[in-house]
Amino acid sequence: MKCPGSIPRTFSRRQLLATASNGFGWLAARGLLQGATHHEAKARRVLFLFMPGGVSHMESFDPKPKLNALDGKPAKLDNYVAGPNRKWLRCLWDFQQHGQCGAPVSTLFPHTAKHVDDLAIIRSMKSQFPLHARGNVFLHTGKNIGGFPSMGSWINYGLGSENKNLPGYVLLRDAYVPPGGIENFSNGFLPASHQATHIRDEGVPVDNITPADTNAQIQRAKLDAILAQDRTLLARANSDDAIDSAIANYEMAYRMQSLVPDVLDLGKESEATKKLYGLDAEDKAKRSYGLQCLRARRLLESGVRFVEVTCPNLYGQNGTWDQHDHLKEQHERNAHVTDQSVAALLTDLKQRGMLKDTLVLWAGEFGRTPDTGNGDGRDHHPFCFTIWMAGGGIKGGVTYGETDELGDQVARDPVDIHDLHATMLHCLGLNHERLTYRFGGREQRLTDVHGNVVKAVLA
Amino acid sequence: MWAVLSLLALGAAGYAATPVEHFENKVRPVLAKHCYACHGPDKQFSGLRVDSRQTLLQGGKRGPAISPGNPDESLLVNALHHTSLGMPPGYRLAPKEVADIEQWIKDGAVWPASPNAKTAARDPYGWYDEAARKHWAFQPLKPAAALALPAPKSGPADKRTLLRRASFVLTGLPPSVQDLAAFLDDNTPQAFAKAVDRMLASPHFGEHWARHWMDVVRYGETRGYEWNYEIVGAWRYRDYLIRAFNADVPYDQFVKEHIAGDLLAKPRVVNDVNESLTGTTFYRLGEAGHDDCIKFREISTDVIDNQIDTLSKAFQGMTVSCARCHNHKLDPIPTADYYGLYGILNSSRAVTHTLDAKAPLPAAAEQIRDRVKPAVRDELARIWRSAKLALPAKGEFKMEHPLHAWVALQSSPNFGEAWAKLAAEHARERDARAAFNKANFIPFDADWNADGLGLRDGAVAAGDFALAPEGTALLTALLPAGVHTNSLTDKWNGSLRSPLLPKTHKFASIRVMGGKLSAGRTVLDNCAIGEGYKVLTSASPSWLKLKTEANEKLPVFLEVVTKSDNPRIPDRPGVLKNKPEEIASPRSWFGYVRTVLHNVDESPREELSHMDRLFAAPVNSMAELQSRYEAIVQEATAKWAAGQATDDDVRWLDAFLQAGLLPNSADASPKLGELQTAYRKAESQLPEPRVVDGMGDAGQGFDAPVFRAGDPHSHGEITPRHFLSKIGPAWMGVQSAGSGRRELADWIASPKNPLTARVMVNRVWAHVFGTGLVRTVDNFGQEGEKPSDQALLDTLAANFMAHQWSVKRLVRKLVLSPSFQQSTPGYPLRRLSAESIRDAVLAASGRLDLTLYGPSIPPHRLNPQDYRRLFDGPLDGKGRRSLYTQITRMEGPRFLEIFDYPNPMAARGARDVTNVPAQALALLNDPFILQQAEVWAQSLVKLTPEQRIPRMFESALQRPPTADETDRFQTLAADLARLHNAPADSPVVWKDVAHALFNLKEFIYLP
Repeated sequence: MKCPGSIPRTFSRRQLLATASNGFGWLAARGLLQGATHHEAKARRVLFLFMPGGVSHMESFDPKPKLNALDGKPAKLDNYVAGPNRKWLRCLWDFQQHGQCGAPVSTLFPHTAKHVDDLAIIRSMKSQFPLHARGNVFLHTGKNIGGFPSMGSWINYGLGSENKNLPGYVLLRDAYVPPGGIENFSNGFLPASHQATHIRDEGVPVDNITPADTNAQIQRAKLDAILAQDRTLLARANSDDAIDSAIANYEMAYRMQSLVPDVLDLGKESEATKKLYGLDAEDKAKRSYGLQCLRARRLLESGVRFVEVTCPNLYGQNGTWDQHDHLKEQHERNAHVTDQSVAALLTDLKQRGMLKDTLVLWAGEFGRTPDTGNGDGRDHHPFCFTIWMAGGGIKGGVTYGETDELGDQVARDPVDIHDLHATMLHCLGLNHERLTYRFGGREQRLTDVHGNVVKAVLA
Repeated sequence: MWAVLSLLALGAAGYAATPVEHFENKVRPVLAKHCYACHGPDKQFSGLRVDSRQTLLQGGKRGPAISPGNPDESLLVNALHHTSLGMPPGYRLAPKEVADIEQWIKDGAVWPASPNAKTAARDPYGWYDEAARKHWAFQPLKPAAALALPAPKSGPADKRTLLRRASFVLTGLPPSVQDLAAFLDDNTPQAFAKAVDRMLASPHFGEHWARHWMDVVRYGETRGYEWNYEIVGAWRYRDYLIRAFNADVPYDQFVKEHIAGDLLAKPRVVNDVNESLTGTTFYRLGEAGHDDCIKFREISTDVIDNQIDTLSKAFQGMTVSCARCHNHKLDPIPTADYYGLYGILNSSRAVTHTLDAKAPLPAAAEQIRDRVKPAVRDELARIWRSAKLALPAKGEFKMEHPLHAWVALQSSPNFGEAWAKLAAEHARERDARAAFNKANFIPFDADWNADGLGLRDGAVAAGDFALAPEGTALLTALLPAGVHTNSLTDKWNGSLRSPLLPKTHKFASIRVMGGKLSAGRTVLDNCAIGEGYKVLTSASPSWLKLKTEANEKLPVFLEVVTKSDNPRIPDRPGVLKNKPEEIASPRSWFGYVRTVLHNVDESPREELSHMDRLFAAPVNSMAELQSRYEAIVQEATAKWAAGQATDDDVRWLDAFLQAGLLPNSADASPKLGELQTAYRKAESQLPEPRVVDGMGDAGQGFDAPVFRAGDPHSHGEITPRHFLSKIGPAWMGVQSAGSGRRELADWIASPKNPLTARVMVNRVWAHVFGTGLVRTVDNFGQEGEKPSDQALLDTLAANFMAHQWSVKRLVRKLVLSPSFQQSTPGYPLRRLSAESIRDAVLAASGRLDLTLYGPSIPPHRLNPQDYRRLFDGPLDGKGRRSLYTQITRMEGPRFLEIFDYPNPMAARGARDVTNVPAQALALLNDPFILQQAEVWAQSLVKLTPEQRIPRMFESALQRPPTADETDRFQTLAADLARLHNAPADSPVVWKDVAHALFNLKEFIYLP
């Protein structure tokens, strides 16, 4: 489904002013007043732990003992990788039950396992494409092609910003951009103020955030001269809104130069907290991911509406978890790099009383095949896979949906990407059918013409 | 309304009706009224569609909806009774209506093909005709008797403001010092007109207006998706646009070149380059997936959808893509119109055009062809005639190789017996292979489409040969009769494309030879960068077997291409193990002999008849055999020298040549040495081909089916190729044998088309005045905004057409109008585009390099990803104008994006103008800005202190400072000197002053 278009939004002077005076400002969604929601919001912000590449569902949260029995026998699945040499592959990790709910989690994720009573595990996720680029963009935007707003942009458009001095949608990433590219984090046709601000793990975290003038007095001297000069233009141009806004943006930018580094500064974090996130790990990738996770918490705390964290891509694959080979070794390392920090976020948010109104999503674009072509890895599997949610609006200790005994197809309660989006918006107090933006000849929605709220995972 | 009328008719018709009447009167209207909304052409809840017998039988997710003859077993009846599932939801049909439907199913569920059904599809909502008749944009132009441009609201702008504005609007650059001085010094009434004409004549006009158009055609240079393959020669399209706008190519011609530049009766050839061909590159500039497009059918349908979207918005201001899955909800565009255009585009081919394929043969090539090669042939033949053959005693040779017998007979105890046995085996095997081949293969002799410099002279006769561009060898191969790209040089390219394959055979085998990353492949559904090309590595002809995917309802053709014509190269990492320099080299070649179709899963067996001459008469010893070999070679050489060699002769000679048995090096004779030198010198002078991805036509076009709900697996009615059936002049039908693009081009570029001129005139207006007369520049449909002044728009459009669709004339007219020349706010204050901001920075610093044209320069990146073609470029982009920055998908040029450079995914005729802190941060802290401030400072410190501030104002703002302003910045300079603890003349001080100037709002805003 696609109905693209490109009626450019032509901003009125009034809108421009509103945008500017809100800094990373926002245009209130149609039918929404500032700060208002369609119904009571359980969550005020979102943390999206993006697991690109395709985590093996039957080796993480959806145990399939039958595969152990079939290991090495010819596999005959009717799908896009079907072929004469396919064989079933046993689960390479053992499962144990955890928490009061007794949800099984494999030994891949020992830290996350301790939090199962806070998680709603959805085993019956479905996507449409066994292709990374499409899958990623679909997960983010509800569309399989570029040009549409990411859910982070939609949510900011819907709810506006909590901290006018910070961007509303922040992406914490390393040098790697997953397939689908920047499209995944694009504001699409929504105003540019809703696009993701990228914060990198190494070097300068945000584009142009470090003052070029190391001497603050020098920058101030220049800014004062610029301001004085701009005021004369303002007078000549009869007090133009656009120039007014541009002037205001300089003051905002000036403050951001110190505020953003301040939010990212871990100096005020205790050693115990840093350790919790694995910042003392020997593995550099693990430290880097832990750093981004801790920054994520600080950003959420400071009022950023939607924080997304990607994973380090350690093996040059099409996504961190894309193990067509070396499944055992590489999934294990990926889990080692991410699991502790993910769990740390849950612990930390809970300790600070933030988990109850922070919606947490742990998800990738698809799962992996229950069979193998080379005995050493698994391929893309959009037909069923597992994600989990936690926090604001989500009922903990729930396992929803079922797959067949091979982990090949959804057997009960399918949940597609649109349903996931509808459910997330619901937790945030937004009705996915009413969160619309007129573009390209129609009212656009994150869920297009689809989506059902998965009530069973709601608190 | 229709349903109600039918129900009334039902009452009149009574019960004594035929099954067809019963259906038409009692069943179809009920289904239409109560069911179609959710299970009809627009929506298929639960996968079910109830508007045809076939879809009812297919059913939806719950299985078939009807069982003809058995109402009780029909899910539809079950649902209508609200037993297990209740339909319609929330209410029940009248019992009588349910009974009628039961009766209809019992009678076998007849569903006649109804003429009414067709009409309904053409006007599904009953208001299409009305909309077509009433919506302003679909009506013929209503020009006023005379053009009346709006009166200015403000007084005239001062001269400096005016020229700065005009310069940015016309060229995207600040006015040069000379232009400004000339204008200020000219006090005649024609001063502004003269200045405008100077700028219109400047090549930078074309650059700026090309950039505008690049937004409309979602210009990008890579294909995004996973690996970001490069679009071959995309930058050549950008250069084409620059030249076209500068040459003021009539817009109707420009439109035709875009839509069907490859099919024009008289292409526009300039400097031996076929400009018209490059227009078609616009189709190819979108995103495209590389995966297998049989497994992922959407890869090709999405590419075409993007083409339809771009084409319809760019030229017609219509959102035709909205009709992909359902009839357009706002404009009279039935789904059939979408698939009418789909058929046209699907019948066309994604190809790589060679722009100079028909240029006169360069003198160096003529020299090679007419002088060097004949001399080489004479000299080699002379030497070969007297050459002693040192036949090898060992070696692995198959039966078809001339040396097979020689090696096989080595050290046979009884030569005569062994000879006889071998001869018999030869005869037996020869006949067996011939019989197998005859039984299992049919020739596919259809005409292939050839393009490329290497194929410009068509097929060659047996015995032509290729010369080595380097190394000691003189020849690389003797060629069989066929089509060869390397007859003159292997720098020259070639593409060979077959007609569409018949669906009769599972395989095609092509007899080819090739090297240096030439390849053969099956092209499925026009997936230009689809999987599965096979690199050719054979120096002599051999069979390459390709699957034809005959079971798929897809257009399939075969393709043999040199490297430059293969859009998959450079391929993603790990696919080709070649070194980067091998990938980058222009050298690549192939030869093609013939094609056969077959169902056996193997290629034809190598025929042996060419070996008959060896076995023609008995020989009694190895010595005699040696003589036989020599005789055969000498005879073949003689025929070759006389230009009478057959393929069998060539086969023999080439086998001996490849085996190193025939002299083939420059030191074989002084003459050969001279000829080799002459060849290589001439060869080095040959130009490399200019290739560009575009659209081509080959053979018969075909109509496409409607894809139900946009699903390419669900085929509906076949739709004749056409375009907007409800809007504009009547579609003339596809008259040519090809895709229909030529007719499409004529239809869109017709003066009778109510949209084409209006849409373009409005685009020009928007660029000149900041906002279009129709503000939604890409949407003239009912969802778009109405023109603020339709008479003005129509008059401009009519004049535009009356004056040869001249864009320059139109721009001139608007810029010279009083509206343009007034001061703000009558003329709206505008922020410079991203490109102009960057260009203005370079212009002020003095770093601007105004070189025109050429390959793009990668943007500076923090995290280059070479394997995704995201290369790092210099921070200052070599000082070139912003439109020469490479536009890569997946990650665009960051600095430009901050200032609303659009994401190149869809037509974007008007950009956002946002106003966000990231822009302030970029101008304050971006390394490019700081670097340019530093560059600027270097030249500033060479001036006297008094000169500096005035010069800076002139360079950045094109005006002198006021006394206050001079004071302000002198004071700033003094403060900075103090803070830096540096002398007042020091570059660090003036870098900071320069930096401050870049941050003035006046620098990026245009009053």
